[in-house]
Amino acid sequence: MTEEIISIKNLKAYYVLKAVGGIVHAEIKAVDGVSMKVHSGEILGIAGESGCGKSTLIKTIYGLVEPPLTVVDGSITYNLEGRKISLLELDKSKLSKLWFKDVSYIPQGSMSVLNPVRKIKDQFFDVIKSHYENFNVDEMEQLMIEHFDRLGLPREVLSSYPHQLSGGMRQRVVIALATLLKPRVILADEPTTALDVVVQRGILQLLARVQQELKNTLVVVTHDMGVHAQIAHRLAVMYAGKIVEIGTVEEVFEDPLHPYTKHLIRALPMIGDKARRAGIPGKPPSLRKPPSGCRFHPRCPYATDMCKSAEPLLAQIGRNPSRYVACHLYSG
Amino acid sequence: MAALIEAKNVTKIFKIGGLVFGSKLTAVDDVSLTVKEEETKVISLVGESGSGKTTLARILLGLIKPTKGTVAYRGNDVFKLKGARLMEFRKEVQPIFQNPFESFNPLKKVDQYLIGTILNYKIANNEKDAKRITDNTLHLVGLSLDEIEGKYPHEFSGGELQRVSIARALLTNPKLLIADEPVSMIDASLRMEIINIMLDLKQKLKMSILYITHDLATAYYVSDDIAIMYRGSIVEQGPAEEILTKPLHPYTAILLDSLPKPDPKNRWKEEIKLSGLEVKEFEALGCKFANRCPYATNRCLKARPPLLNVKGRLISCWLLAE
Repeated sequence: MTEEIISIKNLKAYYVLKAVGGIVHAEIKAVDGVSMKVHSGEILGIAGESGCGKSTLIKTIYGLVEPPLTVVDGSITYNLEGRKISLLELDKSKLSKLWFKDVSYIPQGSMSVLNPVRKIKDQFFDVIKSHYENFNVDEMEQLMIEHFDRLGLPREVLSSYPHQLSGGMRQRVVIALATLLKPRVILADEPTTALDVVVQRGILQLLARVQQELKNTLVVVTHDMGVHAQIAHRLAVMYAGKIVEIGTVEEVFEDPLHPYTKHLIRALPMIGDKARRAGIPGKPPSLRKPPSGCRFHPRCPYATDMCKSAEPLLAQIGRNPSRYVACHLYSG
Repeated sequence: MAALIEAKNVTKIFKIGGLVFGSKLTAVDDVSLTVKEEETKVISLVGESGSGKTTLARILLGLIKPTKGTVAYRGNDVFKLKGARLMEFRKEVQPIFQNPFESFNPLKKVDQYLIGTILNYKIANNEKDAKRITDNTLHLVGLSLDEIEGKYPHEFSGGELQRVSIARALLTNPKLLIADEPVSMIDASLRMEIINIMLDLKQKLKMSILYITHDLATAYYVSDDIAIMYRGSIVEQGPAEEILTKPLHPYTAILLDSLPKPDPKNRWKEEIKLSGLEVKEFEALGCKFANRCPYATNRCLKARPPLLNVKGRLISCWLLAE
């Protein structure tokens, strides 16, 4: 049985917009009742369109919850080699002890991580300093150089400023920083979205290699189904704030169960196959006022009355322990 | 008969920085491209960011003047068009941009904008006819005047507004649409709808489309012809089916091989080696791809490869020069 490293239960993370006087003005239900387990040593992909809440989910798993984002309900428990940590109960100083050392976050766009006016080397020092009180500068420098060599990054980069590097190189630096202290969990949010395909491939392969070497857990959020197909072991599909399907990446691509996943996968153009691909009718729902019942029902060709009124729960399908879907079609 | 659009040896050099210490960037480097009226085609211009594809599109639209080379519209220099001829060019060659929210004035109702376009170009003389034409054109993209009447751009989803912007381009009965990354801002589930609209329009209206994109998979899906750009130059150009299933230029091959195929059974085999620090490929003497090419020889570093005609495609590579 695979050990679980993160357990998420009924997580609800909303953007709560308050008007003058503190009255709740609007709530955007970006993550609305997500329960999921992340297995130790796996690459878990989280797929979904822009605005489905996948970035909010991964941010919350990292503990980066700042207003207006508010965790309304649920829990996130890390199981780090016997240490059980309830992430959402930690204060700021305990979180920063956890960050980089146990869990790292690679956000979309490397410039939001790197300080533009400090050399790469100094930024690496800052991270090390925040976790080790006694350290020797020469030793640390050696550690950084070894780390860069292992990742195939040129040493010259250490003495550069972020703006002197290309977008792909900056993203590799962010990966180097995120993996420096060998964390057990790496959370990556669209790590290659703005990059060219060749650089994207290099970065993804680098991430997968580091994951294999450190035997840690990697969670990758991206809208790009091709990226999931290439590196993920398991895949969770999100729609309008909810997980609608989970399976191994092979299962989801070969036999998608949820009507949304079916559409998403059938719409993917592939070189060598000119068969007509249909888009999904309708448009993504608003997270302010999501549709009743199943959130996909206004766009679903199989929707029945039950789908409009009752919300389908994410449930295991048959005896397959890896397969989950939230759809009334499978609950009969 | 003169081609609809013919770009010959177009080069665009941008000057960056001050007068004294400024540097030069060759965004488009000696590119030729022809769109013929009698051949209704979707031609894709594919390249990474910074490959010069958008600059080339803007040159073809007459928005940027090339440093060298010419662009002709029905045999006349695009940059010397005036009066009725210029109007004709603007009608026949229409752009579609990446972000539909930037193509519309946020303070103006979308239907008024479409009707205004019709009246401006004198496609109709009165508002009643203009409305009828607007409604008919919106039907081509799966919308109707009723659905958009009285709405401001922010009231639309990105996919809907992009469809409106395609309809806007169609109002003047163009012979060529120049679409610069028209789906990259659109939600994945709505993307294929826009792409399918483009395919259908080609058939229904006998109109050519120059589809500018970084996405090889959608380019394969829509294109008849394809041109692969690398650092300002076209490296391989010809029928899309052949180029994308049997690439000859090493760059096209690497690009295709690096594409994340949405198929877990068909994963990347070996790890790709990324180059170290930036190299000045723009100013390279020889082939711009030589630094990254696994087959590069001394000759590739020293001299620009000629544009060769190999098996019905144009290709710029020394490997095929024998």
